[in-house]
Amino acid sequence: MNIFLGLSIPLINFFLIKNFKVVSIFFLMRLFSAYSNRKKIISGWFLISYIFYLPELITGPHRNISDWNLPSFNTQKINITTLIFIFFYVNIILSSGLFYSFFINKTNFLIFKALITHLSLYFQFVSACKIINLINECFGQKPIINFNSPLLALSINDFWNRWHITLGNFARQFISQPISFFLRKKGLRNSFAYILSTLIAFVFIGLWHKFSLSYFSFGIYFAFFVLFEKTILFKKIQNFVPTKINRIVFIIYCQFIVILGYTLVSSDLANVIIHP
Amino acid sequence: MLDILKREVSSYFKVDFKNLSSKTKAYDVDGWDSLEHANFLLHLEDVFNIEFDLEELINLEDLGALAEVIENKVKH
Repeated sequence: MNIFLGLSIPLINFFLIKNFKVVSIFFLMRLFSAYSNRKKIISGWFLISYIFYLPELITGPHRNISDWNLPSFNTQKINITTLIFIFFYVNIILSSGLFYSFFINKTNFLIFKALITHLSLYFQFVSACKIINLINECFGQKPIINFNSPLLALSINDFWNRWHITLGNFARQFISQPISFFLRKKGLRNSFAYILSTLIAFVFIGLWHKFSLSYFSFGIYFAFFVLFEKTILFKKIQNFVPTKINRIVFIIYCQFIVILGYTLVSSDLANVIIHP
Repeated sequence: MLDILKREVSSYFKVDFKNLSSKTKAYDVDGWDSLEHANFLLHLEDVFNIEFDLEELINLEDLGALAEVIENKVKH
């Protein structure tokens, strides 16, 4: 069921009106699936509780339905520290939006616009996930790790292991690994199976956001760099010593490629970033 | 079965046996990336003389779950 839900999102995107939040459809489908799967989810109360409690709406897919627990509000967990942190992260979201609005019209350079988009998106997304985790705690749910310092990634491979981890794991678990295994079993060469499964996984990641040519290109673009690093770049620099200088060079390389990738979808992301 | 699997993981990926547990996930193991994932599963098929179904593999969360799948396959 999870595979069906995940894979159908790009397809559903195709039929959606512009700017419709795809994740909300994903979530509704999970609710529908949860309702169908009454062995695990037995009461309507569970569904009603979940309608008011939507972590996946922000974070993307991160749990199997079997891991869903009935949200039970724990008033003891709500304290002044929690409220201060929520207030703090809301402020980061708002100030990132102001930062975005202020700078985005100051320049005509696409790469600069992409940099502003990248930073604003990062701070807003991280803050939203932090808020989700604070609320998660109040509902007795496990925290979600969605980011692991992606701005310090040393390669595009590394970046996708640190950025939007929930979606990356989903694509790895349900798309690239099964496809790769299936192709290898059919006798395809290792490199060919890897290239094809990576391409499909990244196209999925692109189209998961929005069914458009720009996001399709976005997926192909990142797949290209992941494959380039795995098959050529890192084979050439096997003796890479992670000194401070080397690390800085690789961080700059990675962020440059990421920001360049954002130029493909910066106009789409203008609708995603919360800004005045 | 878990210990046998841990030994396989340890020798295939050249990692310390002691660092592996039933909760270990693929990305916790150095070198266990998407490129090697399929190869390692094919290796396990050869070692245990079994065949994995795609659906089983999709739901694998950690080494414990993989050991359970292998154990069930070996028994039947």
